[in-house]
Amino acid sequence: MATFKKFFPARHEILLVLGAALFVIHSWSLNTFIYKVPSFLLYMNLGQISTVFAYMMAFAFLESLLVTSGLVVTSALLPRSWYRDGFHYKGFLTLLVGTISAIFLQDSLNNQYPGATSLLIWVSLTLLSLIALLLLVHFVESLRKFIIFIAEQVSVMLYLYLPIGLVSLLIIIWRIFL
Amino acid sequence: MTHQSFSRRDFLKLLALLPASIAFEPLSKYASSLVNNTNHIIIIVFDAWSANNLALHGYPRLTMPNLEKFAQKSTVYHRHYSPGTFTVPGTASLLTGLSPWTHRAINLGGAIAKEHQQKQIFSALSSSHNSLAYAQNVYADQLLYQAGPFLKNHIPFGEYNQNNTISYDLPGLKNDAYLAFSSFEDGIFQHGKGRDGSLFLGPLARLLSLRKKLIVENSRGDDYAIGLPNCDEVFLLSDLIDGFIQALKQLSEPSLVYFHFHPPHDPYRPTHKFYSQFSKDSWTPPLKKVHPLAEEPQSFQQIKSSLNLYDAYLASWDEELARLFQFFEDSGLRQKSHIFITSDHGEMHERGLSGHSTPLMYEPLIHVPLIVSSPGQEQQTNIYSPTLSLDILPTIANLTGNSIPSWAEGQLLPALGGVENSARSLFSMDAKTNASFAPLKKYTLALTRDNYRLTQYQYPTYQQFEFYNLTEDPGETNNIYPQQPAKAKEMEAELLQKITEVNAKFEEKQ
Repeated sequence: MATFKKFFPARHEILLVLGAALFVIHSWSLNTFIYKVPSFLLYMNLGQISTVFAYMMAFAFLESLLVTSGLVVTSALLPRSWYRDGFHYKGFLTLLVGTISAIFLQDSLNNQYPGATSLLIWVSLTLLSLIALLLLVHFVESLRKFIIFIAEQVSVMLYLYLPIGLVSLLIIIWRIFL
Repeated sequence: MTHQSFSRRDFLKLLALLPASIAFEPLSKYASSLVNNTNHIIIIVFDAWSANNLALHGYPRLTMPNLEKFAQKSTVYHRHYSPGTFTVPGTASLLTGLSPWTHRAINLGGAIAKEHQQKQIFSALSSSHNSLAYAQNVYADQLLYQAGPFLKNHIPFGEYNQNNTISYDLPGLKNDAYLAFSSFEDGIFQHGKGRDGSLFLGPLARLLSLRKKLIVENSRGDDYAIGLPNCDEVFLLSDLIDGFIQALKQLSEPSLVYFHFHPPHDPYRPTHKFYSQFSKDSWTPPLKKVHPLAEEPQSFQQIKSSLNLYDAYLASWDEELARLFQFFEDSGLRQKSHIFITSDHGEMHERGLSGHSTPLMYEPLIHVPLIVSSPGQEQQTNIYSPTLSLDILPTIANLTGNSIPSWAEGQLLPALGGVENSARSLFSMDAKTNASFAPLKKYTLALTRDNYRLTQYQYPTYQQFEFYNLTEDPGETNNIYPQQPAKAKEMEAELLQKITEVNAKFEEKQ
């Protein structure tokens, strides 16, 4: 436990970032699902639509865990002061920039591979924006307080999306294996 | 010639033979079914393949010479129709022998109604034939999953493709393929057809898939003029034929084989050899008025280019098919099989539209090829009476000595057990925006009979009848419905009666 505490951020900070990850990833997935519902209604019954919902929420739950784990591992690998100190707001900001960047990528990808140069530019711009934002928030206390406040508000969604994700996952496991 | 009188003694002798003849009749039937059962049934479907683009049916361009050669020793059905205008209803009707209003797979992504799901060709032949099936169209593949245990060998969608991106056929999800498909392919990972439901992993997976596609295109795409053929995953035409031949080589016991190939479905990706073959010829398709239901209508020039590409893609596909036809001959499989070559629906390049995603219903979209090669057939037989995709299921059941399933709505194909019926009524329907479990309120319904076609467009913003004399006006350019000929009134009554009939069971439920 002591080793965990030494290398990893505090539990409440991880939970705060997990809450934010659950919020953005589930909301995005939910948005796609709602967009699809009118066409599903033409040929699926309520049970089938609910199962599709369960698949999407279960996947979003696993994706949230994966993303949060990625951030936690990153914090363990980087020097303490870079990322582990203030993990709750740094993780939140990373999610924020990552989300904007992922949406941009989703919209700009057509059916051709964009090429290494374009990807390098995209990754560099994302990282630079993140670093700039992290530095700004690090040095401007009022901004930091505001970000932490927002992160805490968003993390409330943990109580909604965590049970939805867990129940969905159980439903899918039951469908596949039982 | 002398006539001998038939005596009372002769009559008694014959009478004595009666019990024996009764006893032997079932045995002779059994023997004949055993002989028939040794033949394979091979059904080959090319997706979005219109009969109107074949010289065999009067098209001025020779798009598929190898197929035409194959047809010289086959039965060619010149007026064969699909009851649907896109993969889901067209394939479901072909597999089940049911009309779209019965199987209810009428929406993009829709499924066959639960009570009909396993009423497929595989169950009809399950007592006599092993089964092997493959579909390179995800929607058709979903229908194969619905056949359940009756389909004994199901080749996965990605088997002959280059970049495997599909999730629903992963081992853990196979038992839940339909809902996994709707969740993954229609939600979480949309493969460029919309925003992925997965915020981070979606674009990442797409990047990896596009990279793989680029690598394949760079290493194996030299033969193709404008990129590799694509069916959500990229593939090579040659790989399809190689894979199919390998699968056919494994056949031992009498088998029912269903192979549903993606070509010539769009995107049309011809090889260099045929890319400009048809853009240089002097033939120009007839100019037809843009239809009010054609969304975002294309210019005539765009349609012409698209048609040229479609024909070039047909020619590219045909070149590969030559190897398959040669294999049928060399392996002796042609002498041991009934080979059906057909399509799930056609493709249209007119009236402001290229493709088949449309409520429009004209000859290029529903007139599909059907070519059947039977063991020992040495001459071409031509059938000019109208036939429908629904006829394939009862025909193959009959050919293999199985009883014709009670659910089958089609008739036996002429020359394969059936008789020609030129006055038959054929219905084709598109109701992709109508709920599958509700009465038909939004639809296009075409009735083809006696070489006339009556089409009803029934939509909230567009209600219209069109009526064409297909003998005098095969291009369907002169709508004579406003003149109200007696034939149109008669067919209108039949069409409306059909709608009332198919909607009646829903109204009973309510």
